[in-house]
Amino acid sequence: MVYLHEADHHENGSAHAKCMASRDRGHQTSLRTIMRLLAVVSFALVLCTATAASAQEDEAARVGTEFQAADLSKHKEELSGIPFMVGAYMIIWSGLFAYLYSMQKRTRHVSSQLAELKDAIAAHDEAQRGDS
Amino acid sequence: MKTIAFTKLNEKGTVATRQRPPAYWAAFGAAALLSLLTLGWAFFLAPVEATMGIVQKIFYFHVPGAIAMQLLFVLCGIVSFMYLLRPRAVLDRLAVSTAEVGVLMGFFALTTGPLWARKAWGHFWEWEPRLTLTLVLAFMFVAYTALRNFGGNDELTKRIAAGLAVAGIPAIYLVRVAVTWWRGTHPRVVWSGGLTDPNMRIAFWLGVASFVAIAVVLVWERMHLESARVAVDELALELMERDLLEDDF
Repeated sequence: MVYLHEADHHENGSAHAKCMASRDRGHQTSLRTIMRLLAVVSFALVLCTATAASAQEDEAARVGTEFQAADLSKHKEELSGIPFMVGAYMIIWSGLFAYLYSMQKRTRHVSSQLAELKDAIAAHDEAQRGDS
Repeated sequence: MKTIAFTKLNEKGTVATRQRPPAYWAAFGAAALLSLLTLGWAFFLAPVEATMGIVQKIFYFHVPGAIAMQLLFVLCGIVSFMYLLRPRAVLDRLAVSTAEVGVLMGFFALTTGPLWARKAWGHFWEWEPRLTLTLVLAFMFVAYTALRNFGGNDELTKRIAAGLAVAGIPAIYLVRVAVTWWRGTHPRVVWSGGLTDPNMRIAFWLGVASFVAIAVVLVWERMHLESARVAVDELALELMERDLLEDDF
């Protein structure tokens, strides 16, 4: 029974070792696949970063040397109201300043009337002093 | 005569050249600061509206202008009613000033609104209840201002003008409820919670505050001018009665 067990054990041990070896090979294969994938992803990342950096450098170099028209066709509808908006703000500001100007003009008119009244009273005083 | 005239002239000359009180400068500073904040918020922080685009930014000045107009006309109506009950010079001056500044605010609302409408509706004007009533209201107060500026300074003119201003109060109420009662096409955004973005709400209320502050400053200036004008008129009349001044003054 013991021998049988030992024999079984031996046979089973051998199968187990084979199984473990096979599993190790499987692990190694999947590890290799992961490593390959990581390498590909890293390479892609490096490539993207390099391209972006290169594009930024190009952009920085271009900004200093040339001007290009922006493509606003996508925002055409949103921006088409600009003349109306500018018109509205111009009306408000010009209306406000026109009103302030008219008030200043009226104040000046009242001041000149006041000066006339002062002159009239001064002339009356002068005449009274002359009479006395 | 000499003493009386000089006393009055000095007293009224002081009215004409009186220094502005600190409260005036506080209102002036608030108006300037709030206007700058409104411009900044409306253009740089409030987002562009999805359907109408950038033309929607007129809203931050058009509606505050209309609100300031209504507040000033309501004040003018109340003050005029008080004047009819108990005539006092300060009430009359306040009524004249609020009516005139209210007309200016109405001009802002009635000219900027059509510019928005041209983009949103496809045409400048529509005979829609709120628009039509606002135009009628503005004309009523234009008539009031014309009456006060060209109708002389007598008590009858003042009382007729005050009656006209009181009659404007129901019209202001009708302007407010016109869209609901007669199902107008005028947008109802503010009171129905249509300002979804917080920056839109801030820009709008800053606009309202700045227009109210500007209105306060302008009304103060106009009252100051009116008191000087009335003082000079009274003095000139007195001098004419005593033959010290020619009638064509």
